[in-house]
Amino acid sequence: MSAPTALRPPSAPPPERGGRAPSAGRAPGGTPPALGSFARRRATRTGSWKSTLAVAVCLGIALAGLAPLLQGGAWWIATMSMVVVVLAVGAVLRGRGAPEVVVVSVSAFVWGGLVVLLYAGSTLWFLLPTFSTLSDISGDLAAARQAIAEQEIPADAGGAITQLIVMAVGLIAIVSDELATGLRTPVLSGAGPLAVLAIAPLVNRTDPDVPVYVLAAAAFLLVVWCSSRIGAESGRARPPSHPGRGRVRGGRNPGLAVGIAAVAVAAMVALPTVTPGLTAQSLADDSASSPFSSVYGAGIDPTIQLGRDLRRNDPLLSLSYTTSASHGLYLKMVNLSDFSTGIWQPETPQGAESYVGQDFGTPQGLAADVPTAEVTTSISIATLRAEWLPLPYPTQRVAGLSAPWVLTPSSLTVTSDQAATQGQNYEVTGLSVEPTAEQLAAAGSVIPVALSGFLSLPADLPAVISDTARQVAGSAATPYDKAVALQQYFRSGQFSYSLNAPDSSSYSGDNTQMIAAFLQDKTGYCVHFSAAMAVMARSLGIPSRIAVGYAPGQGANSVSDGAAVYDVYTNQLHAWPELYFEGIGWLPFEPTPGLDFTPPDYSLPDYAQAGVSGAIGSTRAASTPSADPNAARDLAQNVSGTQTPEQEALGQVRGWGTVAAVLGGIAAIVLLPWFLRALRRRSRVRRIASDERPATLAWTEFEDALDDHRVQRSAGDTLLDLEQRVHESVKLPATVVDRLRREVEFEQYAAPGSASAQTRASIRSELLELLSALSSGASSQRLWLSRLLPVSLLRRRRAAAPTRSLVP
Amino acid sequence: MTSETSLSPAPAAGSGGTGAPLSLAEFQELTGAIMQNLESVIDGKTEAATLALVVLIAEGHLLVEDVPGVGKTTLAKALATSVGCSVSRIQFTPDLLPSDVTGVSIYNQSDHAFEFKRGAVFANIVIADEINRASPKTQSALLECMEEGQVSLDGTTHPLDPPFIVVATQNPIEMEGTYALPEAQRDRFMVRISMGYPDAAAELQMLHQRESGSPLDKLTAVVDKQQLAAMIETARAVYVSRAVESYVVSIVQATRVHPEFRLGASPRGTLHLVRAAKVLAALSGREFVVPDDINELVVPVLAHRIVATRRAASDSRGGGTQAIADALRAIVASTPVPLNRSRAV
Repeated sequence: MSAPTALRPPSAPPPERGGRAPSAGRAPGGTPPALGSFARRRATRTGSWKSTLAVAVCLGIALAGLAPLLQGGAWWIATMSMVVVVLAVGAVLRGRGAPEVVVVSVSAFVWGGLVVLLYAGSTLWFLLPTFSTLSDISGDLAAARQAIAEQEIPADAGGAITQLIVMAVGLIAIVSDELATGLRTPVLSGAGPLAVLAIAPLVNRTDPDVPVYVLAAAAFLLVVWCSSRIGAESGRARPPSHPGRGRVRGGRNPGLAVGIAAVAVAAMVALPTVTPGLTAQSLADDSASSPFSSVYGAGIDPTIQLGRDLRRNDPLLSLSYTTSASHGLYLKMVNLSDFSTGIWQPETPQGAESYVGQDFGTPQGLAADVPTAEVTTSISIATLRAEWLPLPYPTQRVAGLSAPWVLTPSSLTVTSDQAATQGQNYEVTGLSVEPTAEQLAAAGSVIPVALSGFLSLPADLPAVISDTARQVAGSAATPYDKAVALQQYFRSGQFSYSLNAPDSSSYSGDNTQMIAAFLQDKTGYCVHFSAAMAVMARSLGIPSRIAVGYAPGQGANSVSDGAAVYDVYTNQLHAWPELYFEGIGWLPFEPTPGLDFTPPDYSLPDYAQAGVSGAIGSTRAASTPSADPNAARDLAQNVSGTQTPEQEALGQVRGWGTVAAVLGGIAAIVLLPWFLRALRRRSRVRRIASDERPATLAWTEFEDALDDHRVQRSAGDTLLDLEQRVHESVKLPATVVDRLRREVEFEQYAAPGSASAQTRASIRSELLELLSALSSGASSQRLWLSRLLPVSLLRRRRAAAPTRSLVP
Repeated sequence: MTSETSLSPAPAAGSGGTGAPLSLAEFQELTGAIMQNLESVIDGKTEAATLALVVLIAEGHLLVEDVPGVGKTTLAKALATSVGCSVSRIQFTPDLLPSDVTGVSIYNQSDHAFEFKRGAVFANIVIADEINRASPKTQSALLECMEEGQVSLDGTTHPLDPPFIVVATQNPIEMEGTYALPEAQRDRFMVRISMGYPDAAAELQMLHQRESGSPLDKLTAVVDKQQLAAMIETARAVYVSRAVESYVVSIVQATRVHPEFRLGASPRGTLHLVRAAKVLAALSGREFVVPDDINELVVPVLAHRIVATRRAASDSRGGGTQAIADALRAIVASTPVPLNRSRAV
């Protein structure tokens, strides 16, 4: 048959049903064809600059939310200049009717150009970025990260930090504007300002700044409103192809929107006042019920924070010190001494007095005949923010402190009610206690009444703890021997060090069940070892407490004034038990194996036996390699904080790795639609062999391919209309399209049970032929457009379910 | 099917009764011959000729609205000649009486009985020329025949010989002193077409052809009545799927809520649309109706049943005809075509 239907002469043009009736107003693509695509876009975008302006306002307000974090206002002005420039470029392009792709890419190009121009030192002919440009920028960003990490809040918004904000917010502006104005999905565009808004509460851990939030919410509503009004003022009807869409997209019911937003804001403001415990801090902290979260500041939290800090991937320099001692020092911050409730609690400061440089007094329990040596240490704190001053035990004097500090003489700890450690430099005069073996053997026979609190245990202590303790102590005669046996038990190789294993809440909080489980599993980190040893010591009658602070740190990489400088990183946060022996006082032990810390000499079994009466820790360097199998790994972990030349190179590699990862991520995002589309096509072609309507499936894929290639078609098209439309715009083998179309018609509309004319294989080959003809006939621009932005992925299909028969 | 243009009660069913359905190839052969005949007398009016053929096979009636002299009568006569049927022509005038159309009973004095004198309507193809010039009473008489397929007079029923098709013409230009068909009566016509002027080439060719005499004289019948009956049966057997049915219904219902229409298409319009579409599908050699068939026929089948709002009518030329056709095309264009896809597309 030559003419598909009899009424249509073969040579007649296809019925141009769409767009023939401008008065009807319902024809698809109802804009007159005389208008160019630019003019058409211009017409549908009137008022888009308002939406862009609203995005800029919203970002500006959200950016103001960073004010508590940064000093001055220059950073705000710089960032907003970037935002305004970038958005203005986009708005001008849009006003001229440029396609969205062009708008976004030119905006991004302007952004990149500005970044290069402003922040990269080395460019070729001012503008062309070179290899070193990239490394400049990535170096700047690393510096910004460093600056953010090191600085106290509010930070000085130096060049690096401002650059980071300018770059990030510039990008956010482009994305938000595209979402709100270009794609008209204003709700999604709110993610940008929200991300900026969220920084301050997360970093500062304070309550949100309510006025900023309310203003930002109002500006966001403005964005929604303006975005939905785009094109509404052009005098002509909305694009008639989607008669109902415009109304659905929002903004038509501002009363409802304002109402919802008002309720949300009200709830946000009201909730914290109704529930006092609910603050950003408690929400951010997964152990809101832990008493420590309210006791400790943002610095270290002995139980939870310690494990978290130890697991950090990029350890930060907490502090560094030089000491006259021949080895590194444990720096204690706080004692956990109260275990009567089954949870280790920090000691309650007794007789605290304001510290103005006075002597600390004699350490508790130290007899006058025990040999001591004076040790001076100079500590310089870098990033640590805590209420507790890290000090070696026992300390006699501290000099050079600024800010008010409070001394607790009974425990020789120094505290402040504000987290004021950051930036402190101070001199500590301490003692090195060097008891003889005989003194050790004789110590601890009596326990003063004042120390009975250090023996208290909860009534429901699992039997396994005290049983194990008795077993381990065995035949040891003196309290000191028992302590040595306990330490030896943990270091004997049965226990392994692991930061990861005990990560569940039942294991990580220190309570009696945790200790029992730890004795069972025999794996954990310092918190578990120290808690277990302290509790077992108490069950054996030895007063004990847990010291939380820093391990000695990295051995001297540099030398200052002839003394080795020790660098202490966040991953050297540590907890260790201190046991009390009347006559000597509190002695630290080191039950945690697998780290490169060696226990004090006096706590080793052969110390007493050999009768060595010498200095404690006379020769032990902190970094002595240990035989423990875990040591190598932990060594590597500790080393990663230092900056040897090799590691600097490593850091650069890592920096480039980050760049590569970011580029790879961008590439993955860009290629994702292509990949998904290819998957869908593959699945359809495969399913032709089994689907109950193979030709329809093939046709669906053909339609989607046409959409991807931006071939205009209309929802009201019949199969034949589509076929004719296709031939108008692309060159395809006519007979193949015709055969496939006939088969689909047959499948769809013929009486059930009629014999099909084609096999599945021929349908499949027809489809493949059409698809390849489509891509080979397309211009390369169209081809890449169809690959990278396949619009068919976005289209939803309605199932055209037949209604009941109305016609006989 | 409704009983409009009923075939069944005819005693003469032996000649024009239900024939055995033809194969599609035979059907196309016969229709092709008819079309050739039609096109040999009317140049360049394929669409009008096809629609006339569709109406003939779908057992409907045709309303031709056009100015005089464009070939309305020629088309009707060629159709009649081609199928070997009788044709009569009534020129409607204001003084035409109903009995002139249907016939009259005359008392035969020799037999002492009333004798029925058949009117002009007793023919297979009746050409009712300028139907709007006659009085409404006469118009009604004809329309009753169209609806019933018979003439009832003095208690006697006189069935009309199938096939029975009325081709009525109306002149839309001269409106003075005429009685335009009301909506209710226009609804009985299956299709309204307007011939339109031929283009220059066709008119030139017509001049050459007519030099030697009327081409109508050379026409011979290519189909006999029995074959026509078989063709009608064949077209009836064309399959209409549920999807297409609901497509038709959604189009028709859209006309009833369209803001530019005061009156939408009637259910009879729905029936006529489907019946005509079946014929069109068979003409295309298909055993089933596709949405394209419907789309082709929406304007000719539905437009004359629809009354446009005054505003829409005054906005456009042609007394709203153009506006209605445009709106109908817009409805077609915006009605999604049913396509059943698998669940996991």
